[in-house]
Order: sequence, then structure tokens, then C-alpha cells
Amino acid sequence: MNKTRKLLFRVGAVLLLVLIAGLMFIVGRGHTVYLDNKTLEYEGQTYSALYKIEILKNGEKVAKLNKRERGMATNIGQTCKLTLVITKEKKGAEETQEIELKLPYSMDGIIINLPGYLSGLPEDAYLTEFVSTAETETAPEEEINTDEFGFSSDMDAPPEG
Amino acid sequence: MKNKSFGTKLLTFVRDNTVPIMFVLICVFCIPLSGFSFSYLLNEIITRMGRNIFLILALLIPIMSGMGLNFGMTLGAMAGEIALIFVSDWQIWGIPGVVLAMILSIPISVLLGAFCGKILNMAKGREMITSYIISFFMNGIYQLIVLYMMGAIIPIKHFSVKLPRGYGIRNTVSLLNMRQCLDNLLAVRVGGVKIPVLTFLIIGVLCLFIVWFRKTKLGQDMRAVGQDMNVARDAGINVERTRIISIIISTVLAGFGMVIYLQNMGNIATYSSHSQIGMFCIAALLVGGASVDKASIGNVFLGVILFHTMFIVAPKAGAQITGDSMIGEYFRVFVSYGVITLSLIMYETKKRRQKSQMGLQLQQEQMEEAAK
Amino acid sequence: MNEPLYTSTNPTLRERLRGFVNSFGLPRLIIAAFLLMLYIAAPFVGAGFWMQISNTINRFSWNAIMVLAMVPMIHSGCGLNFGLPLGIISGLLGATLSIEFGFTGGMSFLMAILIATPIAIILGAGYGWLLNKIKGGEMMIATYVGFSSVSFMCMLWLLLPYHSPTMVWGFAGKGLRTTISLEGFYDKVLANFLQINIGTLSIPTGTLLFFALLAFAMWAFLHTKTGTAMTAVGSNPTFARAAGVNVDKMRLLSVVISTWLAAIGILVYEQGFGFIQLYMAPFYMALPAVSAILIGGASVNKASIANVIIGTFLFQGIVTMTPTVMNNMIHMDMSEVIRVVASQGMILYALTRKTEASK
Repeated sequence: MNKTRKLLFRVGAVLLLVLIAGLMFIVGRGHTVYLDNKTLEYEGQTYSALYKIEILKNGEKVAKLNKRERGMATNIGQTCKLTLVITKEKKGAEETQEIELKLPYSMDGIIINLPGYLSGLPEDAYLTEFVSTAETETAPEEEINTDEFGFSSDMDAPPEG
Repeated sequence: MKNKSFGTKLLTFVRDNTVPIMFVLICVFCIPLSGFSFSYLLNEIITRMGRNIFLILALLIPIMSGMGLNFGMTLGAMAGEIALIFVSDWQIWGIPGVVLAMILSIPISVLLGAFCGKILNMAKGREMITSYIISFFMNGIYQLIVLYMMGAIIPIKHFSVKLPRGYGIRNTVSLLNMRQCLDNLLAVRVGGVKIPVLTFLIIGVLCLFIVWFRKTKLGQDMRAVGQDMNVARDAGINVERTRIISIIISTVLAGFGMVIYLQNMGNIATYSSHSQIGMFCIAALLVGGASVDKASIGNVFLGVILFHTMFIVAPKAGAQITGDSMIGEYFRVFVSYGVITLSLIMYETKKRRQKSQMGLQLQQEQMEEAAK
Repeated sequence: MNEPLYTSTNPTLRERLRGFVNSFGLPRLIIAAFLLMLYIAAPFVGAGFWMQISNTINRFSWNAIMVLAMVPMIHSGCGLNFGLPLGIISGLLGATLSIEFGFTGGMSFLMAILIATPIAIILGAGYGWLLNKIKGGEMMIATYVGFSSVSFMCMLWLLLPYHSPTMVWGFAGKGLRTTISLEGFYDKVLANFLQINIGTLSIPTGTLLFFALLAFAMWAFLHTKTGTAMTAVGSNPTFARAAGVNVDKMRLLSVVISTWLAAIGILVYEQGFGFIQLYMAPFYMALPAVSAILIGGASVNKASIANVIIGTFLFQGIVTMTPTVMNNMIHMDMSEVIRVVASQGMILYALTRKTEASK
């Protein structure tokens, strides 16, 4: 193999890795989606909560929301596909709807107001950022045993040096 | 006559495989005492195989190039951890998170590996103790970076990773969002035993890589360097460079291995995950019948199975015998260190014996020469 | 290379400085300068200067003998004694047995030494025999002999039939505790002997005298016929063999002395510290001793009593000074990081010196 080909090959490999890394960066961003079945007030109009919503993700049930309840789903990537099984009124007929939520990259936790979303309101009406209360927590860290070799604390040798 | 040769054969077999045979005996003795069910044991061992084999395979290449047991694999583990800390700060989850962490660990591993290789070249003949001290030294640097610089100089934002005081990383970083994502993808359940097929496929690919690598020009060079540095140098091999590359490869592989290990565990113990990993990987490899100058892929698999069986059953068996579960825990630690000690002693005595034999041969040849 | 700029006008001074840096070693210089800086900074940040000095002297007195234990093995060419925990274990056995037999006060210290001595000799002889079998690979194997023996003793501390209520777990009535208080036994027995107190400065004269005695004995021993033979074995084994010295015997003797000194060293450490620490505590105790003697100017195959004294003082100075001074200066406790990097870096430096490579 001559030298330039070798160099090209190497640069190519590095570029490929960087490309994959960049792709993973976009594709792998995780979000926690909080789904609210709550009455929403928007521009003077009221969008009232529905009687019951069942939420499925990839065929698995993640939440069943009655009025004024909140459910949670985790999602990797910026599109969140959900299947909703909606019962609008008590003893009303079930209605299945597929939805695809666009999630903003920068938010960890996202609250989606379902009645608002289903009525076709603009994004800023139904989507709000979830600010964790844990962020301000200053509680001491709990010790979790993460060692597969499972030493009890008194078996840990003192620090070296 | 035939009987006798069988006897001597058996004797040499036992002598060459003392450590594995000893471990088989320990396991056979302890398994019934521990009272674990067969399926539980099998499940545990398969999980631990998936989690550890990649890491242990990282040790093979430095052994090939005659640099002994690479205690510096801890450096790769640190690189893997730093990569994972970044990935969880950026909130990249699942398989993409694992892939990104692996890619991210490469430049850190290469840097650390090159550093380690350079120093080991300055300490030829005592690579092992030097790589062992390097791992301690680097642990100090790692602490400096992770505990003081991350969040202060190196941007870390996420509250789940950063300490409340504003800089430094928490004692444990949760990897809940990528926990066992490799293991669960394509996982197969056979009679209650979960087999992480994808993880084993990755391990298989690495095994193939190692087999292929041995046959390449670089692999052959490494073996030549491992046999005799001076001969290799006379043959035109750049000994120093070859040795550095072998350590770099080992460090990079250890970094990948650590990512696989931690995605299975589900969280990082930021300041201690890496500290013991080198020792246990080395012990497992040696239990599989490897020695300081010779190790094969088969040794890795056998070693993981035997060593981890012992690890699982020892506390329970120890409690059965003495009524104190701590005895078993201390016992397995003792055995881990004991195995390494024993292997080191056997290696050094063998080396000395060969040396004196060579000396004798030389003397004889000289005498014959003189007689002529 | 690293000398101040103004010396560049004066070539002779510059050369002399370079020679000095080379012979003394850059890492050592950095560590010494760092410690000096700490001492200068201490009064300004309000971390009582005399208090710091007496802390350093105290810790020096606890640790010096374990550092002294490095000397014989370095002299006989066995390298740095990473297997120090083996000697420490002999000391711990002596200490616990002495208490178990019901000795108290100063007597318990004397008895601990008396009991530890035969144990140290036996273990040291076995260890020395092993090291003779594996010449060339001493340091790595020594490390692991230390580790295995510590983890083996972990089991024995639980299993040996100790009964003294001050030492065993209260609820189980058996198995030794992880830390045992020495109050009523030999706590500060040496330190209180002729102790000097001037304001905040206190000097444990007894402990220092005890160290001086052992250090002098070591110095004297190295100047006897056996001692010089031992040094000859270390510096040139072929020559020593030709001169009729029994190389293996000399090496064995050095290992036994080193192990015994480690046993005495841990007892002195305990009397200063006030507690016996068992189980995994001795695990990494070799590393501070090794780096201390290296910081003091020793190399893998050369060491003197002066190296021991300077090294222990510098090392313990850093250990005691960094937490207080750093905390007061930048409100960050980076002492552990500094200690680890400095001590391990020093060991690395010594291991990679080509000129100092043995054999």
C-alpha cells in the first residue's frame, strides 16, 4: 500500500467515526415525555380533559390517563410515535389515533397537553418544558453498590499513596 | 510401557494446568455447598461472560508482544468512564449512547495508551510493576479531571451527573437509560436463561479480529518482539513503536470493554469502577490457564467461567462452612490475589530455568569447541 | 532546561545547576519546592505554622521506621520492598497476641515486639527464599505476596480464637474488630517519653529516639563485614560471588531484616496513632513508604539513612500540609489528588530511570 493511499484510508476512517458519532449525537438524544390529560385554557378558549386516554408506545402500554392525570414515556430521538386509545365521554366509544410528536432537541423533559394537542393547537400551546425539582435538591448522595464483586464497605482498602 | 507414558502424560498435563484444575476442584466443592440452583448459576455466569469477556480479551495483545499482564488496562477503563460521563451529560440514550461512548473513548484511550507505552519503553524488563504504578498515577490524574475540572473547566451541565456544588461528578452516575440495551437487543431466552446474543456477537467479532491480527505483519512483528527484542530489532522491526501500538490497542479495547461492562451494570461508580477491574480481569485470565507470556482466547472463556463461578458461590459456601458470610468474601479476594501471585512466581521460575538451561547449553558447546 | 532565567548569563552556575538537577532529579526538586512553598504559605493563610511543624514531626515519627525497612532490600539488590504488608502483618499479630495474653501499658508494647519478632523472622525467611527463586522479578511478586498475605489474614482475623473483649466484636464474641483502640495498652507509650511541649509545638522525643536507635543500628550494620557484603551483592552480584559471598544468604538476610523492621514500624505507628487497624488496612501501606524513600533521594538500587530521614520528612510534610493549606487557599481539598500524583509519580520516575536500572 503506498503512503498516500494509507493516509487517505486513515483520514477516511477517522471521518467515518466522526460522522457516526455526529449521527448518534442527533439520533440518540433521549427525552422524557410527560403526557397530561388536563383541561387547557388557550386564548380564552377552554379545551377540556377527556374521559380516558390509553397510551401505547411500540405496542406496549405506557400509561392510562383518567381526567387530570399525567403519564410518562421515554423516547430516543426527536420524533415520538404514540398510539392513543381515546374514550371521550363516559361509556363512549373507543377511538384509536396515531400521533407523531416533534420534540425540541434542547429539552430533557417535555410536557405535552393532550387535549390541546388533539384539538390541533400550535406547538407553544400544548408543549412546555418540564423543570425537574430534583435540580435544586442538595440531599447527600446515597451509596449504591455498583461493584459486581460486591465488597462490603469495610473491605474497601484505604486509598493508596 | 503404554501405561507409564500415559502416567507421565497425565503428570505433565496436571503440571501445566495446575491453576485451572485447582479452580475446577474449588468449584466442584463449593457449588453443592452454596445451594444455588443450576439455572440461577447458569444465568449469572452467562451475564458475567457477556459483561467481562471483552475486557479480558483486551489483555491478550500485550501478552503477545512480551509486555506481560497489562495492569495499565485500567487506563482504558478510565477512558470508557469519561466517555460515558459525557454521553450521559448530553443525555444520549440507548444503543446510540453506547456507540457514541465507544467512539468518544477512542481518542482518550489512544492518548493514555501512548503515554503508558512510552513509559513502559523506558522501563523494559519491569513492565508489569511499572504499568501497575501507572494505573495508580493515572487514577490521581483521573480524580483531578473528574472531581475538580469537570463542570469547572470542562463543560458538564446536567444535574444528574454534576455535584450540587457546581463542579465535579457525582459518586454514581446512573446509566438507567442505556442499561443492558446491548444485552436486551436480540436477547434469546432458553429455559429461563437469558442469552445476550448481540453482546456475544460483538465478542465473537473481537475474537475474529484477534485471530486475524495475529497473522498480519504487525501481529507477526509483535510476536517477534515478544520472543526477543534484540533479534527483532536486528530484523529491522521498530521495537519501541510496535510495543507502543500493542499497548494502545489494548487500551482502546479495554475502553470498549468498560462501556460494555457498565451498560450491563447500569451505573458508574465514578471513583471506584475502574480501580479493581484490572486485577479481576487479570485473575480471571490466569485462572483460565494463561501465563504471563502465553494466553489464548480459550483461556479467556475458561477463565471467566471458572473464576466467576467461584466468585458467585464462594460467599454462600463460606457461610455454610464457617457460619460467617464474610469468610467467603475474603476467601474469593484471597484467591484472586493468590492466583496472580502463583502465576507470577511460576512465570519467573520458568524464565530462570530456561536461562540457566541456555547457559548450560552454551557452556557445553564451548567445551565441545575447545575439545576440537 | 528548567532553571531560572537569570542563570543563563553565568554558564558555570548554569552547568552546576543542571548537574544538580540531574543528580537530584527533577521530580524531587519539584516536590521539595512545593513543600517549601506550603511552609511559606502556611502562616499567611492562618494555618498555625508551629502546629503544622509539630504535626509533620509527629507523622514523621510514626512512619520513619517503615521507610527505614526499605533500606536493606535496596542494598542487597532486591529492589523496592512492595511486600512490606507481610512484615506489617507480623507486627499486627504481635500486637493482637500481646493484648490477648493480657499485657497492658508499656509492657504490652515490649511484648508485642517480642512476639512479632519470631513471626517476622519466619515469614521473612519464607519470603526471602521465594525472592531468591525469582531473581529479576522481585518487585511485582513482592507486591502480590503482600496483597495475598493481607487478604489471607483477613480470613484469619475472623477465624483465630481471640477472646479479649477489647478486641473482638461485642455481639458475636468472636472475630477481631476492624479497629482496636490502644487506650490502656501502648497508646503513645514512646511519644510521651520525654515529650517536649513549647506552646503549640510538641515533639515526641521518645519515638524519635527509638527511630534514631534503629537508624543508627542500621547504619552500623551496613558498615560491618556482613553489611558491606550485602551492599556488594546489590551493586555487583557476579563480583560478590567471585569474592566468596553467599549471594542468596545475603539477600535472605536483607529480606528478614526488612520484614522485621516493617513489623516494628507498624507497632510504632500504632502507638502514635492510638489504634490497631486490621483487615484491609495494611493493603496499600507499602506505597507511601516506597515513595517516601524515593522522594528522599534513593533509587531502585541505592539508599541511605539520610534518604530515609529526608524522604519521610518531605512526604509526611506534604501529607499533613496540603489539606490545611490548600483548603485555606483555594477552598478545595485537592490534597488527596496531589498526594497520589506526587507519590506515584515519584515511583514511576524511579522505575523508568535507565541509569538506575538494576542488573
